[in-house]
Amino acid sequence: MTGTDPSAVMASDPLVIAGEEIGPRLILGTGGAPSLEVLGEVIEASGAAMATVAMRRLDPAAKGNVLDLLVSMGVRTLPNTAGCMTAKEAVLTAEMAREALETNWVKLEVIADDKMLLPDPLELIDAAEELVGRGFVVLAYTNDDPVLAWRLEQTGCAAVMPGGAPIGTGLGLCNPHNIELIASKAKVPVVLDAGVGTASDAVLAMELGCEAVLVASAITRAENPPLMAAAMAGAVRAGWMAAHAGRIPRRRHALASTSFSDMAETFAEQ
Amino acid sequence: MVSVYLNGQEMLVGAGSTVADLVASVLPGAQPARGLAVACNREVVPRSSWPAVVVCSGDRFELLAPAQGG
Repeated sequence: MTGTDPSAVMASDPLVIAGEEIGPRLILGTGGAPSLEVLGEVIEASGAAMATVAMRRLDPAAKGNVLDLLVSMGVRTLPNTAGCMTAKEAVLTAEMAREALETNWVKLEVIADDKMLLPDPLELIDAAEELVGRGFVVLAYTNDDPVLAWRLEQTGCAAVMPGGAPIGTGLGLCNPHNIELIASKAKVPVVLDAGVGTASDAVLAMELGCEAVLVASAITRAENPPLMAAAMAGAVRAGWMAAHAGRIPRRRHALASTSFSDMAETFAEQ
Repeated sequence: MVSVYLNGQEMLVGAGSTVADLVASVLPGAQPARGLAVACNREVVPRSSWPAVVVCSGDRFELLAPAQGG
């Protein structure tokens, strides 16, 4: 890939999922923001075009709501099935989200317990098959297991979203080799999801071949959420550009960038 | 009166009440056009059916809305 204007190069290859152009490659998770006001600042600073929401029991006393905020800022809503521990729960939650939000897109999460928050592979596959069969566009949160990611793709998931580390840990990419394997094999977009702690994690994910990064806690729970949102947006852009710029090979020995020829006679040689 | 459960809380509603009545009891006045979903006994009740579906004693309803998450 060549080009003199980096922004034009990036713009020529936007994030596309299930045939729909999403645009920016940073997807925002809205969980953890201390207030809707801060969330609005985060959205503005991140430039994200898509953000996740959960489905929860209505609180009639709540002041304002996240849906109105996202709609007012022109951000696409991606409902998730956060908290579900069985395929049955996840399918019902997705159906509720489709009814409430008039979208058949869903970020599928089926976790094994409330401590590790790691995906339950068996329930996840069952839920993915069922939801794809019901016409959903499924973006599946998964372990960093290349085989499971491949199986999810085979079920018809529109994107696979391996975690770099358990949700909310900020540990970064614990197994970058597996993330690279997933990204190199997948025919659908790979979105690094969960575990991101700081901007360098997002850069690495993109350099490894991910198409996008989803960040929630690392932004919303940072001391300065809008500043971290801007950092993540820049990191995702930097990582994508580096991944497509053709990095130099790693070498065992040094390779001078400056020629040794035509040097002046040194005092040591006099 | 019949006894039903809404978001885990038992409540009494008039015999013949519909799902629309149930939602209105929680959200009186104008309701948002989007952002609400109802399930009855783990089955989604489409919004278009709310005025027609009559609640039965022991029904378990969930009224969900988008919240920050993920």
